Amino acid sequence: VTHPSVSDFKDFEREALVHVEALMNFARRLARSQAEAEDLVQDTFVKALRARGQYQAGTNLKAWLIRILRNTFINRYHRGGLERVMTGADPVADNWISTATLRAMRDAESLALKPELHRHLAQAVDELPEEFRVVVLLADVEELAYREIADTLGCPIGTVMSRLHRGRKLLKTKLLQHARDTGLVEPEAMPLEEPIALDAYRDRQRQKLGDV
Amino acid sequence: MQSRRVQGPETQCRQVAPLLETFVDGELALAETRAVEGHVEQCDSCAEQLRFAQAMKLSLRQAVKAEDATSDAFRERLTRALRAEEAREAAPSVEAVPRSGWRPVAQSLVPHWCFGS
Repeated sequence: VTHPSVSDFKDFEREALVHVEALMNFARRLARSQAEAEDLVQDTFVKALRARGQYQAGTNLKAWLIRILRNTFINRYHRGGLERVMTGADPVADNWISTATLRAMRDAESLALKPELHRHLAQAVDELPEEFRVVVLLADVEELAYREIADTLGCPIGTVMSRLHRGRKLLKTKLLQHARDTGLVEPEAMPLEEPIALDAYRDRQRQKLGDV
Repeated sequence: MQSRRVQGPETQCRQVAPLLETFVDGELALAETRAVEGHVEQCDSCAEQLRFAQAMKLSLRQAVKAEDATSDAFRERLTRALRAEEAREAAPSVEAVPRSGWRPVAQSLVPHWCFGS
């Protein structure tokens, strides 16, 4: 994570352009066409250059650039606001997937997913509703902290965590479906009981400690 | 949903499960981190859930980053755009560079950063 000063043009150019690849990857998952993504990234850098006096040294420059990109995208393509999160569409992966199935989807050598699932991932991400897609990309690809994602999107950390959780569940479901379709795994028997939520876990721990 | 089957030491698994994802993100408190580490050492089922979450995160990063999306032509175009913007800034006054549009854009940046979710 770099926290440089970018007030001078040369500093800006040197420090900010380091992140062009990351911004381009992110833009392509938002804009869905190469030309549109390139326009978005160029607009982002020009806006950032103009606004560089407002960048606070000591904060994450990449996160700041992503915030400008995200707002530019929304202002340009989403004048009506963000699309609503679909409700009532909780995925199969709400339930536990068996140990054997998970193991079959994973590559023991590389510690990543099996190649056929790995190849399917980018498409699966593109199919996620935008609200989830953005959070998953910021956490898993750009490796921003929850706090930084919350600041980037202008929402509470709890919202980041729940979107991340739901986004990953959807991804997991898509991967499982793909694994079944391609014969990598057998169709599951019965779904297993759902685990408790993180909030509930923390409440319970607090109660145990008696510091409610 | 209608099934009541649960793997492993039931209560512990159900308590540790919601922590796994946050553990993989490195965002758990120390006590919670220890709770996860202690449990997965003894529970194959949760250990596999954890390994899968790690595999998914790793694969996602590799899959999205692997597509080299930035062409040399685009980098050149971007550099030219930034240099042009610098030249515009360095010009003696706004009146001397009659280009419409850029000041309102710069001024409208700030409020747009604070959109709700």
